[in-house]
Order: sequence, then C-alpha cells, then structure tokens
Amino acid sequence: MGASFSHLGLSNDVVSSVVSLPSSNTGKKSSSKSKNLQRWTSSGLSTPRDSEHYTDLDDDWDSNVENCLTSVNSQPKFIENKPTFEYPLIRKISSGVKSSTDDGALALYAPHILQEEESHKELEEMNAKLSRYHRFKHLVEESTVDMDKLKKMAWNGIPSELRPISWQLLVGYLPTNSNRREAQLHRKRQEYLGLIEQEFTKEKDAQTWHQIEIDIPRTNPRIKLYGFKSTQRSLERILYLWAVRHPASGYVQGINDLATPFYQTFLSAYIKDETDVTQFDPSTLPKDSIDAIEADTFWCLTKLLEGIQDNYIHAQPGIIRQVNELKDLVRRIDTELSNHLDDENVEFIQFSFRWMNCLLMREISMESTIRMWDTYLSEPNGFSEFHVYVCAAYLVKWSDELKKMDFQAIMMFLQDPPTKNWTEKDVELLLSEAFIWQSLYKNATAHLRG
Amino acid sequence: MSSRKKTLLKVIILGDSGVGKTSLMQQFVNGKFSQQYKATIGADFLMKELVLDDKTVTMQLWDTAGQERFQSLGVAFYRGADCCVLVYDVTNPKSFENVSLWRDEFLVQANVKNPENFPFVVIGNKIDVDESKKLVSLKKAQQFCANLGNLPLFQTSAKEAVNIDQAFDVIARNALQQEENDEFQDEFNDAININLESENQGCAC
Ligand SMILES: Nc1nc2c(ncn2[C@@H]2O[C@H](COP(=O)(O)OP(=O)(O)OP(=O)(O)O)[C@@H](O)[C@H]2O)c(=O)[nH]1
Ligand SMILES: [Mg+2]
Repeated sequence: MGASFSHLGLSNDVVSSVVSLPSSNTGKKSSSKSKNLQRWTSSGLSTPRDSEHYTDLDDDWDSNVENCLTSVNSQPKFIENKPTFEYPLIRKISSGVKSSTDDGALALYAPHILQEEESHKELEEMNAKLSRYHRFKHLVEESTVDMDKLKKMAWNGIPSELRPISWQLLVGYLPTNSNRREAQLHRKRQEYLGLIEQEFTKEKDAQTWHQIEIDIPRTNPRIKLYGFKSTQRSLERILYLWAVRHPASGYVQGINDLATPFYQTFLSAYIKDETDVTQFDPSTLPKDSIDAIEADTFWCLTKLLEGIQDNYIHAQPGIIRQVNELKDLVRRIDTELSNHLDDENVEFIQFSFRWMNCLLMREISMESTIRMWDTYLSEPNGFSEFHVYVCAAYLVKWSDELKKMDFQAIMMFLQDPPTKNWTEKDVELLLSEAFIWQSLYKNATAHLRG
Repeated sequence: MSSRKKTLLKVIILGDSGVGKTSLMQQFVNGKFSQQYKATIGADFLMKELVLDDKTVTMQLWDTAGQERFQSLGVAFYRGADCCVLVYDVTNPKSFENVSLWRDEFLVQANVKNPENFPFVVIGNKIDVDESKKLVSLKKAQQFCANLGNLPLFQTSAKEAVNIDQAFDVIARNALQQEENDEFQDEFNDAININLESENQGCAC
C-alpha cells in the first residue's frame, strides 16, 4: 500500500493487518451468490416470510457486530477472510406473490435438513448467520427502530431478505415508528400516482424525454430484468418525474443507473423465492404492486439525490469537488502513485469522473453495488463523502500495477478494471479500507477545504 | 521528421447523445456492434494501432459523452487533440444542427492554435435505417461541410460496419498531418511545462 502510518501514532502492524490483507484471500473463491429471497409485504411492514437460501457472508462478524454496538464508531471494522459458501439454510414452506393485505405475520421457518457432508464447522457458521439474521430481523421489527443500532449493523451488510425495509428506513423514507408506516406509505404512494398523472397528461419536455428514452435501453443492458417492457416503463416514469421536479438538475445520465439498485431491491420483496429478481418479468405482478415498487423507488431515489444534488446541476460542482478530494487523498495515502500519475500526465478527472457520476456502478456488479449501498446508507454522508474514500481505496488497490504503466496503459486499465466479478468479500474489504482512510484523513481533508 | 519516434495521434469524437459515437468507436477498434453499450459518462478512452502507408501510428481515441450537462468537462479531454470527429444521426435533424455547435464548443475549449486549419471530420451515422427514416439528406450535409471549409464527410453505419474504416483512415491521416505541423510547438510547450509542487503537503495531522 506504500503508506506509513507511524506519524499518526498508529502502528503499521495494526493498520496493515486491516488494509493489506493478501489479495489471494479476498474471496476469489466465492462465486455463488444468494438469490435474494425474502420479501416483505407491500404494505411495508416487515414480514420476512420464507426463505430458501440464506447467504449473508459475514458469519465471522457476529462477535464484531457486538463490538460495533458497544464500541465507538471510529473503530476500523475488521474483516476476516473466509471462503464464501452458500447453503440452503432455511427451507421455504410457503410461497407465492405476497398479497398486499397480508401484514405483519411473522415468517414460519422450518429447520433445514443438513446434508451429510456438511461439517460441524459449517453448521456453526450457519448458526452464526442465522442468529445474525434473527437479531437483524428483531431490530427492524421493533415498534420504534433504533436507527443507531440499525446503522451499525447495516454497515456490515444487510441480509437480502431484510434489505427492502432496512434501506427504506435508512434513507429516511419509512418512519422508525412502525405504527406510522402504513399510513405514510399509503400517502406517499398515492402522492406518487397523483404526480405521475399530473405530469404524464400534459405535454412532455421533449429534450428530457428524448434523453430518457435513449438511455432506458442502455440501462444495465446485460441484466435481463432491465430488458422487460414493464421495468423500462417504470424506470421511465420514475426518471422523468424526478427530472421535471428538479429543474436545476434535470435528468442527467447516470441517474438512470442510480435508480436501479432501489428498483431491484424493492421488487425482490414481491416475488417468489425461487425466482431470481434479475430474471424476473415485473409485468406478471398486479398493478398495485408495480405502482408501489415504483413509488418507493422514486421517493428513495429522491432522498439519495438530495444528498448529492451538486453532482448533477450545471457544471457538476459536486463531482469536481469529489475528484479534487480524491486527488488530495491519494497524494496523502500513496504519494508514489500520485507522483507517477502526475508524471504520466494522467488527470484524475479523466478516470474518476465516472466513478463519482455513477457511484462506481460502472466498475462493479449490481450485486456488489447493492452490498456497497448497505454501507453508504449507514454512513452519515455515504454517497457524498464516504464514497470518495471508497474511490481512494479502489485506486490504491492497483497501485503496484499502475506504477509500472504509462499513460495509455493506465487509462486502459482504469477503463476496464478487473472488478466486474468482484464478490461481496472484495467489496467488504474495500469498504473497510475506505473506513480506515476516512478515520485517518477526514479531519485533514476538512482542514484542507477550510 | 518524427519517423523515429512512436507517433501518437489523439482523436476526439463529439456529437449529441445517442448518435452512435460509442458504437462507431467500438466498430472501428474492436470490429463489432452491440446493443449492449451503456451511455457514455465523461469520456471513454480507446486505442488502436494503424499503419498509414509505411508508418505505424497509435491512435488514442476519446469517446465523449453527448449529454449537454457534461460539456463543462471538455477541457480535460479536448486538450492536445490532433483531430476532432463530429457525429450526427441521419434520423435526427437536431443532432445535425448541433454539429456546428459541437465544433464551436471544441474550438473554444481545446484552445486550438489555428482554428481555421484544425482538422474536423463529419460523420452522419445510422445510414442502415429505412430511407423513410433518414431525415438529414446527404445533399444538405455536403453543403454544410463545404461551407465550413470542405470538411470531409462520411455516411456510416456502425451497426453494419459501413464506411467505418474509410472514415477512420481519413481521420488518422488528418490527425497525422496536424500532429506533424504541431510537433515543434508541442516540444516547445513540454519544455516549459514546469512540474509544480503541491501546495497541500504536510497537514495529515
Ligand atoms: N440503426 C443503427 N443504430 C445505431 C447505429 N449506431 C448506434 N446505434 C444505436 O444508437 C443508440 C445509441 O448509440 P451509442 O453508440 O450508445 O450513442 P452515443 O453517441 O455513444 O451516445 P452517448 O454515449 O449518450 O453520447 C444505441 O441504441 C445504438 O444501438 C447505427 O449505425 N445504426
Ligand atoms: Mg457513448
């Protein structure tokens, strides 16, 4: 990593044990991914109902989660590297599209019958996961959710079954008080439909509409879900409505990408377990479900964009600021790399503009992005500030390689970094590295800016 | 005069969003067309080696984003370009009207020394579509290019690989010419390009 921390009063051992984990251990083995498998009701109450696979990958963190809950937030989060695995953990005993009137009933679980070859250790790991899952579930089902606790737990990854409700809580869309949720959701969903009605019955802004129209087919074109008409029509409405309601920014390319993690996550709550959301045709859902998913996506996207408005207004000052911060940060973290980039006349804006504009979504997979957002949504300014530290961690990860390259090779490498197949473990390592850089440099950067 | 050195040609491609810049670049560099390209954000960097007569040149291609909001970014990508490609979509008259705006924008932001002589090449893309959908006539485009000082014009299809190599051959030759004209000036500029020390050191407190 090339950075020395001794001047900060931190032993290099401590730091390197966290930031320099050998890459051979960082989850290369893990390829299987969980099918997002739990749903909650369309009325928005948390009712994890049934699950076939449970593959949260952070079993080792259980103890760390406890630490996290009791220790100050500035403690680096250690991530141990264990091979990833996927087991059918909880046998699904009911299925079907969730009815919108079905609220609150807790899921029924049946103990999974273990396959014989599964070892005792694996059993323990599964139990640890299951217990983490239950603690998480318990947390979001409190009559008043403790947001500090939720953030601390969610930082380390949200079980996919509980992600829809957790994200809606974290983003500030869903009230923490469960008594108020149903009314609030009802109101916001109605409001959305009203706004759509209002905007789509009058003449459209031609330029905005044209841009959205040509971008919809270019949104996640490799994921089947985004090729379905129903998905495309929903995204179109969401993006257009957001654009006309935010004239200072309007629709800017990249915002289409940002809508999709919400859309996909919220959709996953409505579909049968055995169906992979990325393959699912939403037109098979009842219209009121589609409307609800759309409305929730719209409002959550709106909340997210509120925090990064400067990124998309004229001249994109938010992005320019972040690119400059990234440059400063890399100069501190890895002076050699920073000098090398200077020597090769590589400008940060040339490769990191997109990192900011699309929040690294062009560099990593949708699954990785979704995992990353668990953390971003749990950080105080995840998308506007923490993201810069993530970008720094992302860049210095390739320091050794980049320092041997010339301008052309650097640009080609950063254009197509070998991170598209990153697993959850890789993302988690990146996030923990970013966390460390943030703890070390946040005040320094503020000082710089001031 | 530069035959001993590796010749680098920097080419920038501009035009409205959706005219097919990325598709053209991919067809030229990788010889393929796909419906699965995403909208370009900022700019993408591509490379291609070409042999022009008996000279090997490396083209550095910047495929830029067409949406207006990204235009303030220009400087970072336009500087040092040896040729600028202006693309419109034959099915979209607005994109054709904007060609001259893109040209002006480039000249302002790239800070070109001799704007009158700077090489532009114009491309009308998507000629594979039905005749009825073609809303920018070849004649109109030819007239336009003639008025701007006889800019080379190509009608292409990135989808069906029509006229791509021909267009890029001319682009490369124009860029090479420009690069050779500029070489003396560039070396001069390099010599005075002082590497400024950072003012932001020493406060990792
Ligand atoms: N029929 C036809 N369609 C094309 C052709 N070239 C591109 N397209 C289509 O036009 C749309 C836009 O193509 P892109 O290459 O992404 O356009 P772009 O100019 O790079 O757009 P931005 O990145 O947004 O600036 C895509 O749907 C392409 O498939 C062509 O030669 N013929
Ligand atoms: Mg493009």
